[in-house]
Formats: sequence, C-alpha cells, structure tokens
Amino acid sequence: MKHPFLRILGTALLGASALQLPSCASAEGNVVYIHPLADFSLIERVGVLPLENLATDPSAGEWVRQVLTNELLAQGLFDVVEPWEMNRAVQKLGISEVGTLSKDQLRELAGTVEAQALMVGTVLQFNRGRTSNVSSPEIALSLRMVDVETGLVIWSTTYSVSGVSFGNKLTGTDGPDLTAATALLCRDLLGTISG
Amino acid sequence: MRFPATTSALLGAALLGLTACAGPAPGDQPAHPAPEAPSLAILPLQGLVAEVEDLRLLATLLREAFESSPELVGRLVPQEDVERVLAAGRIRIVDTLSPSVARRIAGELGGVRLLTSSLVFASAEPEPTAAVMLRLYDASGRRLGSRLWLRRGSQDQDLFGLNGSDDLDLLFQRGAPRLAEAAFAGFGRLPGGDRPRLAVFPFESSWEIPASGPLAGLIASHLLEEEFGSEVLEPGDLNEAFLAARIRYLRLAGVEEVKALGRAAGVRWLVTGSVLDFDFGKGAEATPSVSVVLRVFDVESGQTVASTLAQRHGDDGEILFGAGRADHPILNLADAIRVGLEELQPTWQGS
Repeated sequence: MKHPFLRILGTALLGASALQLPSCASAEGNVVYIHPLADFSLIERVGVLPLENLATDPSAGEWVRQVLTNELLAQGLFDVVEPWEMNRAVQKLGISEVGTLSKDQLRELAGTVEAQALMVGTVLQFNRGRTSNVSSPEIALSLRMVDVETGLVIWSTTYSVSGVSFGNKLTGTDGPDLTAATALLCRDLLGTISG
Repeated sequence: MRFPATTSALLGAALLGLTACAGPAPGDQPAHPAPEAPSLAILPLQGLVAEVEDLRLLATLLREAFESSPELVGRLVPQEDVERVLAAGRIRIVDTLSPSVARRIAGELGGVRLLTSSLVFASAEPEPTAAVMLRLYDASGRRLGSRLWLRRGSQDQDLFGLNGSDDLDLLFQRGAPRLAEAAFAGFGRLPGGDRPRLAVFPFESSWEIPASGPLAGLIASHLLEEEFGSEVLEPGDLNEAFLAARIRYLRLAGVEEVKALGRAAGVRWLVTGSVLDFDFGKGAEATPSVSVVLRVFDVESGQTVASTLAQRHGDDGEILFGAGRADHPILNLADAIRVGLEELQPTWQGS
C-alpha cells in the first residue's frame, strides 16, 4: 500500500489548500470539484458504499451503484472492492447510515476492505421518463470520493441527465434507456477523474 | 377473428421461435429418447416464486405427460416411493442435487435416473409465461443434461389476442407434454474433457421482480454449459459449499470466505451479477427492457477481474407492424446475458 501522505499532502498543507479555489468544471449544470492536491494515480483500491436514495424508485441506489462499480472496473481507474465485501464491512461495523460517517468510521471501514478511498453519494433523481413516446430518462447523482487517511473529500460531483435529444425527438426513436443513460452518466463523471 | 393463412403461418413461426430463452427451442424440438427407455424418478417440482396451486398443477400434468410417453420413460417410479426416500434421508431441497445426494437417492430407488424440476418463473401478466429448469441425473449421480424451458402465451392465440382463454393453467396443460420431451432433449450432450470450470453465484434480483436474480443465474449457468463449453459447478455442490463456508447471503459475504469457498469447490472463476432492470413495459407503446451487470471474481487474487453491463431494450421481436408482440423480458435477459458472457469469456479462457 502506498503512503497515505503521498495521496494528498499532509495536514500542514491543508490550511493553505482550503484557501485556494477548488478546480471546478461545469457543463450543462454538471459540477465537479477536485482537490487541488489530489493525485488519483496513487490510489489503488476504492470501495463504493451503498448510495443514499432520494428517488422514488426504491431500487435506484443499488441500481446506480452496480453501474458505477462496473464503470469503475471498465475504465480501469482503480481496483474496486466487491459490493458484497463492502456490504459485509458496513454490517460488521454496525453502520446504519452510510451518508453520515465520521472520519474514524471511514478509516475503519476502508481498513477492513483494504481501500485507500471510499465513494459515497446520493441518487437524487431516477426516472424512466417518456416524452412524446420517446424514452427520456431523468437521472441526477451526487457523488464524492473521500481519502480515508485524511478524511478529505478529494473529488466531488453532481451530475444529471434529463430530457430527450433533438435527434430522437425529430425521428421519434428511443434514446438510451434508464440503464444506458446511467452508464453514460457514470462514464462522464468518472471521466473527470481520468482527465 | 381469423387472419389470412399466410399471416397465420408467419405468426406461428415467429411465436415458435420465441418459446425458448436460450439457443434453439428445446421444448419444441423432437425428443431424443435414450436407446432403451430408462426408469425414471421425478423429484417433487420446486418453485422459486410460484403459487402452490401452480406447482401442484404443473407437477401433476408433468407426471401425466411422462406416464403417457412410454417412448421416453420405461418405468416411472411411484411418487410415494420417491417421497418416502426423500423423507427418510431428510432431503428437502431437490431442485439441484450434488452428485453424492443424487447417487444416494437413485440407489435407494433401485438405480434409476432422476429428474429435478423447478418452476423458476410464472406470471399471468402481461401474458401467461412460465420458465422451468430441468435437470436429469443418471444412477451414478452424474448430471446428464439440463434444460431451461420457457413457454409464453398460447400458440393458437390469435393476432389480436381475442381468444381471451389464455391463462397459466391452459399454458401448463398445453406445455406439459413439451416439457416432458424437453427433459430428455439435453440427454448426453454435456461434453467431457478439459473444460474451464466455473461457479455461478446467485445473482441479485431487480427490486420489482424478485425471481429475476435466480432466473438470471440459471440462464447464465445454462448458457455457459450449452453454448460456451464451460463446466459449471453443480448447483447442489455449490449449495453445500455455501453451507460449509457458513455463507447465508452472498451480498454479505467476505472476500476471504468467498475465496475459501471457491478453493474448496475447486473453481478459480466465480461468475456473478445483478439484474438491474426487468421491465415488461406498460401501455400499448411500451417496450420491455432488461439490464444486467455480470462480473468475474478470481479466487486466486481475490479480485473482480472482469465486469460488464449488458442490456436489451426495445422491440426487435415485434412483428407485423406493431400488431404482434414485443420480445419477452426473459428472452431479452437471455440475450443480454449471452452478450455479457461473450465479453467475459476471455477471462477464463486465457487461464
């Protein structure tokens, strides 16, 4: 395992970094924050915690988590903790609310699964959607990656997709369905890590 | 309402092509009886989500179909004898058998073949559909073949569904003889030799259809054996390995437990996944859609080494300008899993 202080410079620098403007990118309402001192190439293994779900579809959290895990593996950015292993660690530590974890809990959780960073997040919106008889999914996702050693958020994003493309509207053909749209969304937002 | 003979023939052909969810339609192929019709014991039909009445009806119909098919079965072991042996051995789960358990049951019944069956999907809406997993074992406990049999609707359903008499009971009545034939369609087809050995773990289900996960796992197992030339760990052996490793739910298993389970079972690659979408669609214009994540876990490294998202969405099977039917989600699921396995195959083929 690589030294945690290499992933993000030590606490001495944190005060200074907090004063800096975070690097933000925004496209069509999508927002990305990347900690200026984060170096993702030094993270080997991440775990994706069960996502909080604010959508009406009760399966949305697990649905998005599975697609996100697949995209992480497909892009080869990091080794990814198996969802079953992550679930077990959460249960073993008696954690019921994954959205409000303390720094110590995060560290303990990550230690159990041997990950250097954890992804936590919330599904804000998750609808199949249909406009003029054309598939028009609506998805909004808020996601962040926490460096477990320092407890700092090193990457955070809120991405959404909704509506139907002009081309689909014009031709009356279906656009991507809910799963495909989720995969595209995850691909886009993870693309902000790989640059 | 009748429609022209040409249209009727076209529709009939299209429906026939959709009755099986994996490869050629086993339920609609001519049976391949063994050279001499063997003695057979039919173990009680199991059901993942089916109603008890559905199970009883299908079990009765299936038994009657065998009784009226002497070319398939020489002697059918009385059901009381089967139940007596199972009760004496305290054997309750009989949809999948480990070789040792199958050998014991077959021996106590006088060296007969065993047929296990499981109604893995049964739904009256939006159209009657049933899927049955069949497994045939010889007297030594070796599995001779397995078949996943799917039947939807009724083959004499007319173009606009005006028959109105098509329900699950009718589907069972019409389907049972074909199901009996299907039990022997896979006889002796499992190749031997040096094949990649895999285990298929239970898949997570979509929230809306709890049977979708087990169904996806069965489809994946079936495809791996029948189309991908792999050897899949006997489901009965996998059950025993789960018990030995004290794993009750895969979703709460630890990586070390899973590695130990894989090593004990003698497999390096574990295939698992999660059904995300299993949607029939609603309304006249709706189209069914399915999506499934498939992953391969390497027991040696303790890592997930391959993952893919496969999906089918749309109405490729729709016929006759929207007046026909769209593909059933089970067929879409099988297609999606087949595509996913094709992507994952290099993982274990390269080992």
